[in-house]
Amino acid sequence: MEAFQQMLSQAGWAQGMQPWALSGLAMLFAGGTILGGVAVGAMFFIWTERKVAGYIQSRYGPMYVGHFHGVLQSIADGVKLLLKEDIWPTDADKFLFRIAPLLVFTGAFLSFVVLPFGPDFVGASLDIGLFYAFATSSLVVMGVIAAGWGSNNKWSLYGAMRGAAQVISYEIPLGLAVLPVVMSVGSLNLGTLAEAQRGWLWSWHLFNPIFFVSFVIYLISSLAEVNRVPFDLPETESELVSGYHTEYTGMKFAFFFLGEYADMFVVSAIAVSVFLGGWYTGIPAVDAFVPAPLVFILKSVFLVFVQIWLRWTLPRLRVDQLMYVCWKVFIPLSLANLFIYGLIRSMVG
Amino acid sequence: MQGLFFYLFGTVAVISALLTITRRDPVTSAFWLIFCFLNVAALFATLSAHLIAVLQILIYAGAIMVFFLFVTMFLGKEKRSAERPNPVVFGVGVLTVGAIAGGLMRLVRSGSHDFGEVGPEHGTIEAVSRLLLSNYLFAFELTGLLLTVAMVGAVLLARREAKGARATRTPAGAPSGPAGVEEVADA
Amino acid sequence: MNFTWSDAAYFGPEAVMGLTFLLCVLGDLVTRGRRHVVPFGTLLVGTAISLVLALLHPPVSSHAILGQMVVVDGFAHFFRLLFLGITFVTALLSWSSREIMGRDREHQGEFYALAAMLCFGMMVMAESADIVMLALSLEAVSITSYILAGFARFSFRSSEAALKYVLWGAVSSAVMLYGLSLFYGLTGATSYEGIRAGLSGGQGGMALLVAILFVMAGIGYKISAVPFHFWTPDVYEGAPAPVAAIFASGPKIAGFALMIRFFYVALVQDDSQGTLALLDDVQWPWVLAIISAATMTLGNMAAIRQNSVRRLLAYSSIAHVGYMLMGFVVLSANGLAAVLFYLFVYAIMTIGAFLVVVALNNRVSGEEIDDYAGLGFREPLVAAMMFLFLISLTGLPPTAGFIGKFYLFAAAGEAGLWWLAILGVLNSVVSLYYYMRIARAMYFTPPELSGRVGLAQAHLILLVVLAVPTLVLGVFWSPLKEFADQSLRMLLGGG
Repeated sequence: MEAFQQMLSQAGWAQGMQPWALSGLAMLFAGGTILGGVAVGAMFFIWTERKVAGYIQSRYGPMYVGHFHGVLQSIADGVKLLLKEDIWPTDADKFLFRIAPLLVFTGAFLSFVVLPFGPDFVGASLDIGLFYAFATSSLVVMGVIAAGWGSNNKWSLYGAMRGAAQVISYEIPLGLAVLPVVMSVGSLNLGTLAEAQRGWLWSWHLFNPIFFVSFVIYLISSLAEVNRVPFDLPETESELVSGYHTEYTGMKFAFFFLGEYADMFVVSAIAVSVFLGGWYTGIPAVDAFVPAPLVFILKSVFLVFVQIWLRWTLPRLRVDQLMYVCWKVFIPLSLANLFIYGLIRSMVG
Repeated sequence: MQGLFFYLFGTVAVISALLTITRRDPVTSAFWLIFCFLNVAALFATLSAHLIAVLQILIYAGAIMVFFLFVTMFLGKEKRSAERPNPVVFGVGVLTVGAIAGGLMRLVRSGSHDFGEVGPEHGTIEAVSRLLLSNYLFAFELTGLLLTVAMVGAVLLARREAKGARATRTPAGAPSGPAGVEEVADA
Repeated sequence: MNFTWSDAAYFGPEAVMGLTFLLCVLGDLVTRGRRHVVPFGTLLVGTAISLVLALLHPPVSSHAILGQMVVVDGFAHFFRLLFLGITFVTALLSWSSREIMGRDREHQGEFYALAAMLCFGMMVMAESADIVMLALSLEAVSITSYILAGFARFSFRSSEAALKYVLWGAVSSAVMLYGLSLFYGLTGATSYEGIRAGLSGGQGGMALLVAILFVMAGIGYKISAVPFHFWTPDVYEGAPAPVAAIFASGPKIAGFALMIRFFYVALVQDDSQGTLALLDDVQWPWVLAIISAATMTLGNMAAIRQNSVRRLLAYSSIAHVGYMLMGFVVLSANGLAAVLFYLFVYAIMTIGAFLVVVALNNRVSGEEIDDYAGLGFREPLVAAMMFLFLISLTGLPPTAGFIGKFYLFAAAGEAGLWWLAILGVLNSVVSLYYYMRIARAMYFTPPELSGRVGLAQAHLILLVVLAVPTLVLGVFWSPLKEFADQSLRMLLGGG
């Protein structure tokens, strides 16, 4: 935001504006940039998902819109969703039904503020960035619950309850998994965490055995956090129609869709900045001339691709298996991991 | 700018708090309460108390209210309309709030309780954790014990359900083991 | 920072109890909940070690330890011994209780773990010197109590009791926390000393009154003073009898300890030698005097109409809180010493009376007064002990209850609160009526069944152990009185 403010104050047409108006304008610009980025990025991911799904299932996927492998398919989808009738279930709770998609999308959108795309490309370099990102993701749960309850539909409700239980449970291993890294760097600022991995490839946190365990736990838990296969119990189209967003149509549905893909990017980006060296390529010489945001985004996109890849490869877990994995495997494992790391640190110093 | 945000978030927080206690549907009330928490968190953020702001969202809005909604969902739709408040209770409540508000107003106006400026370190995660692990270490550990006992209690009290469910699911002719025999006998 | 190993020497007994809780849980886990003697033994051994540690190192001066969060002094020492004694006795009396065993004896182990935690929490309550610790220790005791209240898993009444307890507790805790936050807002300090320093300006006014009332709501709930007493009869009746015995003694006494330390350290100063004065112009002793009068009157009036022995004892315990508050409001060392003395005596006689209920509960189906008919003929020893405890609860000589009440009334009179003292005496007369209803049933009603009831040996021995001090303290009370006086010296004298 500071960067925007600086840019504005240098621009000719903004000369002579009041400082409060200037900072307000800067806020609008910053927000708009992130919003635009999220929307375009999510559209890209939706297209990617369909193409990858097609490839894995030995078919083409979208081919016609935009002539080249259906690149404009997502835009067509968006137009279609915009033009569709906005259906309200008769007995829906109007208030909750309306705010649910907004909450889901806002939750995902707010996290982008702290993502460090580069040393200088970060919305707000908060000291508690990592913590903040986890907190905003809890808004998504709110949206899921509001959708499930507001739809007044059994399947939606089941989906919402599963979603709430799952996200709350998996937030614990997710948080515990990153703690050893936080302990080693001594900061929760995502930028600082990425900065600590400067240098050659092996200085990435991924290549430390303890952090590697953390990374695996984080990666799997983050799949549950964003309700992706094999943890997509809140949606399970084979049993719950479409879970919490069964009753949604048109733009409201589009918001859920955008939110989901934005969330996928957020968890990937956090993984990149905590474990995968942030905006560093792993070769110091290359770092000098490759733009940092490009590296960061490419790495994140790769992790999003991994999520898509897993979705079309793995079968879905059962609800009790899901809870078992969380409470009886991941939480003890991440606690043990944290404990061992603390022990090592206190002995080595 | 900061004053503007203070009044914006403060007003929304108060309005959503009022809506929380006047809505009759518990789920709607809960959502207004969440809005209230979010605005309080925003107020903390405008005071540069980022840690408290995030804790407010993570714990109150994120964890506690989700559990609250979860339980409400379990109870189902039929039982969810609340009764109208008793006018006497309502009156006492209004009076108490008035007394507290008046007393606090007077205190603030008198200016006799000036806490002074705090440094930039104040309220950061490092400062809070340092305090938590030095001065407040015992309180911190006691909280750990408190949570342990709560967990023991939750398991103790909740097992009744699990047991009943298991006993009914086990077919009478095919007990699953020594424990199963007892359960069937109990049922 | 302010945290050293030398603190551990003063904190030994508490640390041992905290460890005992964890070991009980662990022991139960390792034995898969089958060998209840393991947690039971752990609890007894832990309590004994803690007691020995406490007796070996009585504090000679006031020590603020663990980052000034808790204070170990003579006052804490007094309550420490009391709580450890209560835990030891109630653990013994619960061993063969039908209600604790439950249908399958599956969860007996947890009971001992919870009892250890309760004792730990109560000891910390009596030592808290900071509102953070006040809230935390109160919550530790409350949460443990909720679980204990609902301990009889198959009993509908037990679950109901637990639910009522939780709902009341949650509301009053919330109110109290708000009151504590007001204290922090008024003074900018969390320690009692800091609050005292912050209030010495004397500008609290309305906000201070509200803060005190709100804190009183939380503490009043814990000690079951009117108007926060509604949960008491239902919980005492619904919870298993050994648990009710703990509730009637332990948390209530801990509530008193917490209240005395908070009010007398944070809100009272001694001007010159021996005279205590209010810090502020807020007249909270008057509010508490009214609460005291209401509590004893309401408790006694309600007790008259009860037919269930347990409900009767519950209301009588409310009435006793009223008597003890009398000693609290007079703002003098004598008054506090009377409260301490009475708390000690009250613990013995209440546990004794509940022990009779526990012992009979295993054998006799009901707990109505009529079910005790003819007990004097069937079990002369038990009936005699019950009679003794009832006399002591009424406050008749030559029992400890008489001495305790005498000190309380004398303290009230000394402070010029004659109306309160007279009300107390009148209430004691009323209480004689309903206590004697039990005695009449035991001795003047012919039994429906003949022959001995057949009670557990352990219960009989324990009864005698409790009966002895009830009588002895009625005759030689001065050592206990001196102990109470001495315990207070560090609290009030040290400033």
